[in-house]
Amino acid sequence: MERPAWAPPGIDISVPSVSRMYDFYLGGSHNFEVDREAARKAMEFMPGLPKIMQANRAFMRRAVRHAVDNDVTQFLDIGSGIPTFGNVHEVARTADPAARVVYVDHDPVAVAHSRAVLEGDEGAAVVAADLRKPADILYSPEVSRLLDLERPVALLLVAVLHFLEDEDRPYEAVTELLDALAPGSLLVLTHASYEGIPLSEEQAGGTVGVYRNIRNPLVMRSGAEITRFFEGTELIEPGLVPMPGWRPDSPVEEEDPYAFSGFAGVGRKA
Amino acid sequence: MKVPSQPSGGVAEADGPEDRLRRFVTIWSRAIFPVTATSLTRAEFEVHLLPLARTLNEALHARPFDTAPAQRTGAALVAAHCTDPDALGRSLGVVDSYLVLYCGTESDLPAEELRARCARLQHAMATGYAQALRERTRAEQEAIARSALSARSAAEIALHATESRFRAVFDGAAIGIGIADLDGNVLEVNETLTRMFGGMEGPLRSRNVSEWVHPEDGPHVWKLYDELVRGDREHYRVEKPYYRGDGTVLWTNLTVSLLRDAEGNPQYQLALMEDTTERRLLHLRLRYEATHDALTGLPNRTLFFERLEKALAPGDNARFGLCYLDLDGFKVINDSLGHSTGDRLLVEVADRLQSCVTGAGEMVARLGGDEFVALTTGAAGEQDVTELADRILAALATPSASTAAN
Repeated sequence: MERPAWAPPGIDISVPSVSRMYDFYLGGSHNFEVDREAARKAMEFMPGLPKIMQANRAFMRRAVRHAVDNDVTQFLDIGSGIPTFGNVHEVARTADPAARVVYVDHDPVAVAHSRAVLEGDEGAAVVAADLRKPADILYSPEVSRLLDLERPVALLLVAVLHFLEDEDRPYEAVTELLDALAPGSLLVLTHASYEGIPLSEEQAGGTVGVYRNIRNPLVMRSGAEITRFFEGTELIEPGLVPMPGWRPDSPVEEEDPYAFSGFAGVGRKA
Repeated sequence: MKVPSQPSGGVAEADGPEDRLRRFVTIWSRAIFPVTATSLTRAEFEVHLLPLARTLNEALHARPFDTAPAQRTGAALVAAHCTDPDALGRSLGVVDSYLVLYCGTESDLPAEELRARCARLQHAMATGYAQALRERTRAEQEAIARSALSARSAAEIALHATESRFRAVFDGAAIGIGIADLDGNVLEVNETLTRMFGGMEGPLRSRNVSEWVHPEDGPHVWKLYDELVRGDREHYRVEKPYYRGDGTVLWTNLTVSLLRDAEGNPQYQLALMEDTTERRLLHLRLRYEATHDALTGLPNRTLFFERLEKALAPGDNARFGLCYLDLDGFKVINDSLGHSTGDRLLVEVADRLQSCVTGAGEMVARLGGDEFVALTTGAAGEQDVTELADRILAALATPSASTAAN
């Protein structure tokens, strides 16, 4: 007779992971066939998915530089996934070598990979924790060691909140995190939405179905719903906009139409 | 953020070699930027491509001719995250169409030679690109496989640690713990539980949970059990008796919880049992002592008034009867024959009174000293009370042996 296990199930790499799929969209090889298969299926409905991911990366890079330009040099990047290139600590350090970064992900493989990449790095670390449990993040040894919560922190929630369903209480999670941060802290956020996608909602819904099938439901929220995440902060110019439109440093008209899917914004805690 | 609008290296003279090289770079970057995964802006990307273009330009004119720098250029594209093979195709297209056009004008080499060199540079670029991409793919595949492996062993270590922790709790717990599947097959019991049931694990493991019935089980106990194994209930808590192997009764405070798997499907039932047998006996004894007279064993004043209060309770319309009696001249016996004789007399009187109350609603109690009281409740009519009084008087009519002996 099989005995019940005492601990949650271990790592199952036969199940697609959203962070490894994200790496695949970005042209990386930090992924397995299951991930590529799911990603290709998602791309059948939305061929421009890689463009959306690139727009996310590019926005994050501009937002990180904006933070450093405004003397916010501590970063808490939740849902950081698999570090490839242009990671927050790399971008931040080109502007300020003393910048400190704590990455957070709940995917054990992404965490193990981040740990390998960050080995020996004094100013950056990774925490295995879930956005659904902000206390696990805020009271982690890495956050206590690297971040001074008395000073402003840039909280990065890039392409992650749309993986939290309403019953996961995403608004409460963001509020709990912001409550722990000092005034002047920044909320850097992107979120998937049916608004802005150059496709019918029906076709884009095919991609949503793929994510539902791999048990990582993608929750499309409206612009109004996404704005609610910024409660308690003041959205800085230009507000909540499609990703390429947030303080662009190259002509917006050169961007791929897919890059305008979803929303990006930065809020400043009063 | 400051991005230089002009690539470093000073101002290029209009239509000079440097200016033409930069125009070539602009064409190149326009062609491949849309298929790169870089997070650089196009302007920054152009700055990145400039040294690669310069290398190609130098290789085009170098004596002796060498294709190795072009191979490095191909590899550098991969390093700049142009991992989409389309980036190579577009790059080769740009080199083929524009390298000689923009960079071949000042050369003293014949046009055919330049065309041939340009073709060979493209071959080398493709080779360098393919090699670098293969290396990068292998390295990344290895890295992610290693990460998956280390994540898995970390999970195994964590699993082992939790397993040991919980094993210690399971083994060392002062309460009995048992795990069964939803069909009621007992899968595991801890030592405490085994001890509670008499020390033999075999009989405990071999019986299905649904066979652990006891006549004193409340009607709800098995209803709760059914709800739990169906998955309609997460846990329940009851007081439940069991038979031990030797037929004696074990009383427990039983808590049963439903364990679900990772998908949320009901999987096991977990029972936590606290042995309350002794506590229950103690409770019963204390209760008995508090409500009975130590000398005669009859219900005492406390129990009598409890019953009387119940009989008088509003809504209870049944009638009741009371007979109060004391022993005439008891004080004389006590004073002349001693207290122990007096006590023996009281015990004998109590026994005789006790034998008179046979009906369900009848009781006799000692209120204190030589005062006794008989109470009949329920359907008793006046007739019954009179009969009881007669029985009592008859029982007391015979002289007592204990006092006669003295």
